[in-house]
Amino acid sequence: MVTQAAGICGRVGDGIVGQEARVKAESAEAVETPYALWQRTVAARYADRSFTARNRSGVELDPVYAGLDRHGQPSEMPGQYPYTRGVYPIHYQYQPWMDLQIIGYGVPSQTRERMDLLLQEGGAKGYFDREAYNFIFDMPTSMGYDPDHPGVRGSIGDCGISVCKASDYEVLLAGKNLEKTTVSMVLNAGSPGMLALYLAAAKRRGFALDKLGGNVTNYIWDFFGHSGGTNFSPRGSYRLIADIAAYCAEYVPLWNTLTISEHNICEAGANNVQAVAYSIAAIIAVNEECVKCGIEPDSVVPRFGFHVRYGENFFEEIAKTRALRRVYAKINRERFGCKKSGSLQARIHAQTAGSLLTAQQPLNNLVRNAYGALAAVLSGVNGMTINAYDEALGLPTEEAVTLSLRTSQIIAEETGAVHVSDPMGGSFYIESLTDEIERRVFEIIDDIDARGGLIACIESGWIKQQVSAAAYQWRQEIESGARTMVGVNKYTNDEPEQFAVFQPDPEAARMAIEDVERHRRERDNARCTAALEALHAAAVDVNEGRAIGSVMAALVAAADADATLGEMQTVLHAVFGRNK
Amino acid sequence: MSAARKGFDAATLLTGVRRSDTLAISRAITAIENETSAGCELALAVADSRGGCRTIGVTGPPGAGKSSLINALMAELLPRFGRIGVLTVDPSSPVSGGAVLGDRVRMAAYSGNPNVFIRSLASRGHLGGVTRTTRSVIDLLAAGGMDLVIVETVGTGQSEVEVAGLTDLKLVVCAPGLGDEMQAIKAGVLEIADLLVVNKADLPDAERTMMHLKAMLGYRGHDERRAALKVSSMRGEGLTELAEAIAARLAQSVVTSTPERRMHPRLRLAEDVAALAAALVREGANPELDALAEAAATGALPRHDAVMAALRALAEREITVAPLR
Amino acid sequence: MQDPAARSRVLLTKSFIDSHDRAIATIALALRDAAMEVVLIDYEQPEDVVSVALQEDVDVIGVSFMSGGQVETTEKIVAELARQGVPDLPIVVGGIIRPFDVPPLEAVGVREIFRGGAPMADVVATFERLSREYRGLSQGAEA
Repeated sequence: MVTQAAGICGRVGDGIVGQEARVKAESAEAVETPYALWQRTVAARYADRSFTARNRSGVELDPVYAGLDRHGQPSEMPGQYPYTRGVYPIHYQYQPWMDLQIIGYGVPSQTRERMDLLLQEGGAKGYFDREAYNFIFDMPTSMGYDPDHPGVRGSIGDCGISVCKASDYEVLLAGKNLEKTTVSMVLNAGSPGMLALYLAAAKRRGFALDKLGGNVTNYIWDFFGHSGGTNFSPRGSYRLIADIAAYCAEYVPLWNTLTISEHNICEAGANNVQAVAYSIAAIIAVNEECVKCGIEPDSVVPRFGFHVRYGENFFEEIAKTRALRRVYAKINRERFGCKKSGSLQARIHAQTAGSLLTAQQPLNNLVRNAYGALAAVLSGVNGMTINAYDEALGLPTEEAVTLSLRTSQIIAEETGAVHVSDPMGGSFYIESLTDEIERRVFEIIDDIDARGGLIACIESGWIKQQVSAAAYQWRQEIESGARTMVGVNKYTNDEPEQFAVFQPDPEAARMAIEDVERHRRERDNARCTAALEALHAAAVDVNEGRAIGSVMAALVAAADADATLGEMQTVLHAVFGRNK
Repeated sequence: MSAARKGFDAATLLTGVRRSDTLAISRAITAIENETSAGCELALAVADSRGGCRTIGVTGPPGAGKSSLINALMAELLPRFGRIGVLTVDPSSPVSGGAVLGDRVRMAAYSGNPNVFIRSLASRGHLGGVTRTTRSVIDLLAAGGMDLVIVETVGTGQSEVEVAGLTDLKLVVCAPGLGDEMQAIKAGVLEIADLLVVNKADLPDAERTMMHLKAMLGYRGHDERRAALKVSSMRGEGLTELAEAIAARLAQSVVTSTPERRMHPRLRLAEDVAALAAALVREGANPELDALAEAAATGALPRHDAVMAALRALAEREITVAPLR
Repeated sequence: MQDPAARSRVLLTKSFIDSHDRAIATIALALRDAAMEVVLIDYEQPEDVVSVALQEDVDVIGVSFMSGGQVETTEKIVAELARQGVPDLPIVVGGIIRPFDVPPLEAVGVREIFRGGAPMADVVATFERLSREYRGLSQGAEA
């Protein structure tokens, strides 16, 4: 089975076969050129609307340019398989990217104050006039622990919000119309329980689950560097991902259930080729798990998305994005038989590189972030998080958060970078680099297949070794001066610079602990216990391959019965195991 | 002269070891590993003190889940054996000699348990899956009051058979779907197994792997002591059965002679003398030895003469260390 | 004369809930390449760090913080070292150390603070120096 799949995937990576497939697709459409097809699609989808722009000199700009590709064939167009040039025929000209600044610190009421400020500053804008918030949680929450867990003191409300019960969302999102609010949750092992808390809170407020939009990053797939020992066992994690995907496909169809974070893999130290390859390997592992559980990939894959890092190699960042979209489309179509366009289109949320932020000369980070963000825009991403320049010093200040937003606004509204889709398309350099990254990515995927698949590679420690070795090599290049980091190993100055650093509220921990203790006293404990027992039974079923989707349903019921994140996590860990 | 760190002389350490003092045990292991004179003396002092302490060797390819299995087994073994020592061996870098020792991260639940002593050892260039001084470290843990010592080998999947000569019971751990790694098991490690453990029994291939291993056992003839078991560390399945099998076999086996105890007495003595003599020559501010070493290095003195002189110097060395009892 | 077989042993650790391990993994490799034996663990309770340090007989403890707990955790480790009779065992901290973390960390006797971007050579040199001093200090106390 594995060998056969590897064989197919080897052919997918072969450019000639890819071309043949394209030529066949073309002949089926009566030799319509990609450009003609694109024109027809745009006309059909957007009626008479014009997407041309004029620059200051009065030159009219087409929304996309085309010509012959490196092989002398008519070039692929945006919105066409395999989506190298973007997933939409018209992109920013119609719908700009969504700015999602990371938000969250202290207890829910404190984060709510920041949300209101962000909204006032013109942030928090989602697609189609929705409000959008990108919540980051403190480490205990992110890992699925309650604030009163003895091992987490000192980290509560630090670097993110402390949330552990459904009622916390009633504070965080009080008065918001949740059908018009996109809630993005960035977290690790706590993801399944956290989604349940939000869904339970929304239900209590009378919102229908099938109207709720948002995403949970669900980083339980990540064993590359950001998962830590609090994650579930590798096999347990991938089983839970399938469970959540199946549940949401049925009951919360607008919810994005999985974010494969190329960003996190890069931040853990992998290079761009490795990071794209491991991201795709994770998708393969998830899809294989779904197939094993009897879930049709086409029913869940459209709700998977990517989180990609934009860092130090401007042109490589763009090429890797194009290669990622292409490989994703090919794998899902040719290896998993996906047919829906949503299953073949990699939606990408961009984030600038946190590991490039320096504590030395921190204002330099503003410039780094701007170039990273520009690379993301030129790559055609769907959403954007620009880090705060002072994050290497601690939690961002309000001023820094605002400057990140301004960076995005300047690119969107001053630079003109939004007028033309895939503006780098056709560049000899970018196209060649895109092809080369694709080739190397398939090589790594073949290697992982030969090693028994991603989960076996995680369990043997091989993946971790690859990533650590790459991180170490990068560090050595900095140390030796082979790689320049301005202000760190070159153009340094000794003057200590004093910057305002956001100091988290030391009272947050006390408030959070008192709150959860009161919550435990005041809830209906019999109902809560029964719900947790039902969760355990569902977890056992799902772990043994039965009733996929029932864990998520039981989590929502438990959250509604006032079970806390930590209590639900304990049940899940008992059944799905722990990473270490 | 690290042996002279405060409270680091052999006699003080040995007293501490016999009182089961954690710090003394730990520092004594360091001395043994570094093969200092104090370490050699300690090793000699505890060489015959295993008493009722039983030992298990755990080996198997990478990814088989050895550390996780030991972690999962601990809850079953602690009630049967009062105090447990665990030695985990990781490879040293052949280039720098340094090492990253990460096995115990999987045993974090027992970090603070007073009845569990876990020590990470670097192979320091020794092949065979254990370290050069593992035998003495086991002896020391026994002297320190451990009732059971578990040795987890490097786990490179190669022939790590040395642990067989060091421990009473050999567990070979494997997992389904390791492909080529299974070949390595066949190649030699399997030969030493008393208990074959198929970990990750929750995987679909587990049964096939089990049949495969049983077939290999069968091929080697019937043996009451040998058995193959399936467990899942993650789900906690099969652990009680495995612990019972371990306890039963350890209860049967009377440690009469491990291979090394059959070693020729003269060879045994030679090794002990060599180790201690080498440590004594390496250590200490001794102008006479410095001069001899220098003279031998420059060729001023034939090396043969330097060695004979060093041996005489050692023989005349004033014995300052209290006799170890 | 330094015993040629002796190796510096150090403990590198971070909280079990802290998922960022790039820094600690990189430092571990750098210390390995400087011929040290590096024990790597995640701690659940700060006190566990001391239990492990004692069993592993390390010369230096390095604690990495990427997401909070800098002061509270370090204070607990220091208190436990004193309770276990090894108050001299040196501690260094690294990662995201904010200006307001520094005075309390220095007050409990943290020997060195490394922020992101600190040269790896400095980190290695500090571990080497502290390791030597810790051994030497014990030796001196006896003499």
